Amino acid sequence: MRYYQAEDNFNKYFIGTLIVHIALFVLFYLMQNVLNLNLLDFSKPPQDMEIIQAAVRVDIVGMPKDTLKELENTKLDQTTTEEEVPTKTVEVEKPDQNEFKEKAKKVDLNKLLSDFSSKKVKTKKTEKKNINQTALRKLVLEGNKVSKGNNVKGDILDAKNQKFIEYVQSLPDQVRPFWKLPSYLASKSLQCRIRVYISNTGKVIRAEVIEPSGESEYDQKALNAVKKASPLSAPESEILSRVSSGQVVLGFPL
Amino acid sequence: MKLKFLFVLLFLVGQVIAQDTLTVVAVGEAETEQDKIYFNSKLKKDGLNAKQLSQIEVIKEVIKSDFEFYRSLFEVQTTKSNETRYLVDLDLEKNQTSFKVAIAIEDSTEKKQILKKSIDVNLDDTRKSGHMISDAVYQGITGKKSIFLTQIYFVSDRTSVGKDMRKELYVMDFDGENKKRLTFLNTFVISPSLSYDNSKIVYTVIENKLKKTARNDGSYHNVKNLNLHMMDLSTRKSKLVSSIDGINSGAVFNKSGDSLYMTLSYQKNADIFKMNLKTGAKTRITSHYSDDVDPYINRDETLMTFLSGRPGKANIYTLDPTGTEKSVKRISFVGDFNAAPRFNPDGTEIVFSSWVENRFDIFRIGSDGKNLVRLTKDFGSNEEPWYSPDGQFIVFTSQRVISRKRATQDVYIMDRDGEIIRKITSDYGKIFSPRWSN
Repeated sequence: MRYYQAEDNFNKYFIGTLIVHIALFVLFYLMQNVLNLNLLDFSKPPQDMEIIQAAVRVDIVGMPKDTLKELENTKLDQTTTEEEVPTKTVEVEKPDQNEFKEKAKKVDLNKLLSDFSSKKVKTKKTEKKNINQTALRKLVLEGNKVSKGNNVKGDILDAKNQKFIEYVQSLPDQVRPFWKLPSYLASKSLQCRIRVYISNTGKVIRAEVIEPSGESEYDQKALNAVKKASPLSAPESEILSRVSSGQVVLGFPL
Repeated sequence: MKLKFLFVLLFLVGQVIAQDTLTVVAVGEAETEQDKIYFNSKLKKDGLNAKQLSQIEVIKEVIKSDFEFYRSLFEVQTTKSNETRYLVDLDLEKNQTSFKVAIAIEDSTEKKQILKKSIDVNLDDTRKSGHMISDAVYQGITGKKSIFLTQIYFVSDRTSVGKDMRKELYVMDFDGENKKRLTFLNTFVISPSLSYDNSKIVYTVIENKLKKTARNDGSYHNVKNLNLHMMDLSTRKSKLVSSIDGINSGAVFNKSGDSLYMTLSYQKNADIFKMNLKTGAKTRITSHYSDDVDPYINRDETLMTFLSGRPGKANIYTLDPTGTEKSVKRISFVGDFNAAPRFNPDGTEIVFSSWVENRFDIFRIGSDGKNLVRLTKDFGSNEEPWYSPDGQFIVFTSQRVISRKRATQDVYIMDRDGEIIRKITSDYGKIFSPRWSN
């Protein structure tokens, strides 16, 4: 009798534990893929600061063939060409929630475990925040040598973030025409970062220096560039809450 | 219990969602600003004679020419317009025997006067007067010293007679005018270098030196030795500073002017030493079986760059000059032969020449070995770069082969990004080792 009671208890606890585990898996899956919380991303940069920049490793095997002036001219040419390309080819799997719900009803634990264990943990191709600042500065300089291409891959461009990232990536082109320095400041290799708050019309509501360069004139020139560029292009309503709450930081130059 | 657990989970999820993530995007390097400037000259006054009027014209030309060097910063307008940012009023004040120029600068953007001052000018020294006015205007706008009152020291072979080659030391204004010969040695002068206060210049001379013969019988014979001399530029008098056997060359002053960093080769291979000018005491800075030459020191004497054959080819290194072989770091890793590394005034970058495709070209690299960029290409063979004291320009020599027997080598100035500003010498012999004053 006691044996059967113990077996009943075991079955009860086993089923209870199983339900909790399945619930945890489902919750985790939703958080990871639908809410886009990237819980498995252990490479997330400190202070929740994400740097949008393509990382390209450049190994120097000989003296540069092009002069600085030639590189700058190439960069200008490429900027013009890029403007002519209307859209980027971005392949992002958009999870269909209805389909998921249907599959969830027929969930096969073994398959779920197998799928989950074989699911590749997304790793950042870009070493966010850890990228050497000088290397990034060089990248800006050398960016004209390396074609950006029109295929964008990597988890920063998932469905949820895509519009936000595209909007943020469009900002430098709008601010750069006003980003000017006298040569005595330009030669000092300074850097500052400005947090911007953008309204639904694209107007810069507020701009604050969050990482000063140490040279107030430099910071002021960067702030002026942001103010002169306002209004920026209007953000779509889906991303308005993010751009109006100051989640965008402009790096001058990085 | 399970409900509580779910609430905890949901609370945690809410916390993560509420967390702000800042997204940083790089705007990129700034474009260099160019402000429009208009000189409203009231320098022509009644009562000036024809000579003085022509001198005034020269002064105006000098000012215009000066500001062309800073073309990345200023566009000099011929007429005032709505885009004029700086309106410069120049007014000649004539006293009985002397002249003053009153300078007033209006910043139309900030809507305020940023300079009002008078400077004495000597109409008989028109070029200097023009440079002084230009410098006052430049300083009034930028708050920094210009290059307009600086000079360039150089070596020329223009006194050579046939195969009797001679190289002497000369000086000229930064724009190539007003050349003066400083040495009359009828021999070879090489690698000059100026003290930071512009009062002294050191240079190496190839001279004969009596040396005991190998027979050890008390007899002597003449050998060539590279001796180091120092000239006081106020008196133009030179004295011998170092004549140890072998090379005494490539000397540069430290900022205080009490010591020199130089190459000595009395221990067979060339190494770099620091020499106290008062006591003559020498401290070894490099100690390696490969040759180490061509030292250059930053202003606060915390970093030295030099050329070394350690990797098999001549490459650029840095070290901490407070010790021997202290914190040696290789900076250049490519190039068949790198030469003449020189810091910019704040010591953050090094300009040097490198042998590429059968000629020298000029490159720039960060003092940390990063950000290598090329500055010259398809522009003759370019060597011996040297920064201007404001770090905005680089003076260098460029050689053009005219025929199998003839080549010219002149001095050019480019900005730090490689835009050629001007050729400043012509028909003045082959020119070597231009050094910008401080």
